[in-house]
Amino acid sequence: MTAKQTKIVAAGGVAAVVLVALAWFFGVSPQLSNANESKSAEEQAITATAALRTELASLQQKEAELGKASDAYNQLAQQFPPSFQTAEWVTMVTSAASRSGAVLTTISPSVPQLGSVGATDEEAAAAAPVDPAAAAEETLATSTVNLTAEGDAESLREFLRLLNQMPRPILVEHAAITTDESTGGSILTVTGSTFMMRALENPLENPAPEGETSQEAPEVAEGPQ
Amino acid sequence: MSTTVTEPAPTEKKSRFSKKSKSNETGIPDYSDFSAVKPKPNLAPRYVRDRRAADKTLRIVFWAMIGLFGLLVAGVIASLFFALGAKESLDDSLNTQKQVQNEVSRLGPIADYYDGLVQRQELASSTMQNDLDHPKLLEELYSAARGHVEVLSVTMAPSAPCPGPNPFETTPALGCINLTVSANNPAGAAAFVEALNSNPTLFSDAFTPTFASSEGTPANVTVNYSSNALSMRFVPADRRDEVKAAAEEAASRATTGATP
Repeated sequence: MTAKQTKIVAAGGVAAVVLVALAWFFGVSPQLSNANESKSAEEQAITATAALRTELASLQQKEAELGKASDAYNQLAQQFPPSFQTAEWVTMVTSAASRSGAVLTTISPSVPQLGSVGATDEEAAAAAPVDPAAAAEETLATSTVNLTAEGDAESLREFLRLLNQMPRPILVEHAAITTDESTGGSILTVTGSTFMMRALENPLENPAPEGETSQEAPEVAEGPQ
Repeated sequence: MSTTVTEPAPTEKKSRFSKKSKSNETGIPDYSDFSAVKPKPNLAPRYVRDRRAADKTLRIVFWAMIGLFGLLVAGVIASLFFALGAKESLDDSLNTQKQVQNEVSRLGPIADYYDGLVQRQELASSTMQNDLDHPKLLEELYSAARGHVEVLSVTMAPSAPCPGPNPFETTPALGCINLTVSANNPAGAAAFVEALNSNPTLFSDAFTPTFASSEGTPANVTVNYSSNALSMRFVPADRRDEVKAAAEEAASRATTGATP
């Protein structure tokens, strides 16, 4: 091989190396990098989708059982209504008294207070101003009720039994049956609490407007451009 | 001037290939080992021959470069398609994820509803878990009194357990009921206390600190009640044992604290 041939081959070799390098750095490598990033992002998307599918399956099961849950909530809402509903409650108590034969002499519910307030805390709770933030978070409210009824011991026990069976439960903290020496009859004194719960919106009764959902969709990871 | 070259007769002169030649056998000369053309001297000068060789090398290198370039272009195109394929696949996955996410978001209010319902049920259960079955307690008290004493008053209020007849061992109890009874005689009041103590699932440590000394005299009776007095009406069936155990634990602590 002559010197000139050697030079030509050497120049060709250098040019080939340069060409390969250019093709690699400006052609193949960026595309491979893009492809790798796409693959990586795809794997993340697949993992996230799998987690979402699990959540979705649970939600779909809940959606299928929404009727049962709705019934359960309606029952709970009768026991723990969102407001005191004085007329309804008084009707329940007076009905229980009349059915038992006892004479209802005093019936005094207190103004409902946020939280689970005991009878002894009632005055302090009533004096405290309502904090709007606490009101927004609190689910339970309490009203302390005082009842007094007269009658014979049998009718008062029956009245207490009917109070215990009322749709709106009373958590009795103090109950006493005493004999009135002047009349010879008995007096029942009951102090307890009845509760209210924040209303829960049924998604079937109040469907969210199109495009509005309670859980905002998180940003989906963008792939390589 | 001409030169005549005479073909030597095969038989006259022994060829240097004669040993291998078939002529020895057939008599026909074999020229297969020789070129078809006559060898001729290369009369071109060396620099010309070098230039021709260089040209040839250049052509080879040129075509090799063209081939390499083609290969590289093909490689770049292949990688481009590979990247595009990966991007399409990614887009498909992201679209799927977005669809599932939208569905999850659509069902979000249902999840909120369920969570709210469960929270409220647990709240109702925990709020009412200390609810006593007062009608049952009264029924048992009046049943125990029947034939022995007349119950004048019953007071059921949150209180520590009352001390019982056995100062060395007090049964854990949730609280204490105070009764005032009218007994015809001390034996009637004692029978009432015994009747209460014979119902250990509900009552314990009944005692009468004030005995009737004569007919119709009121007697004070104290009796403790156990965790079986809890109504459990808002506690789910699968949590009742747990709530009862917690109540008994609290009763045990209360009794220990109340015992001198």
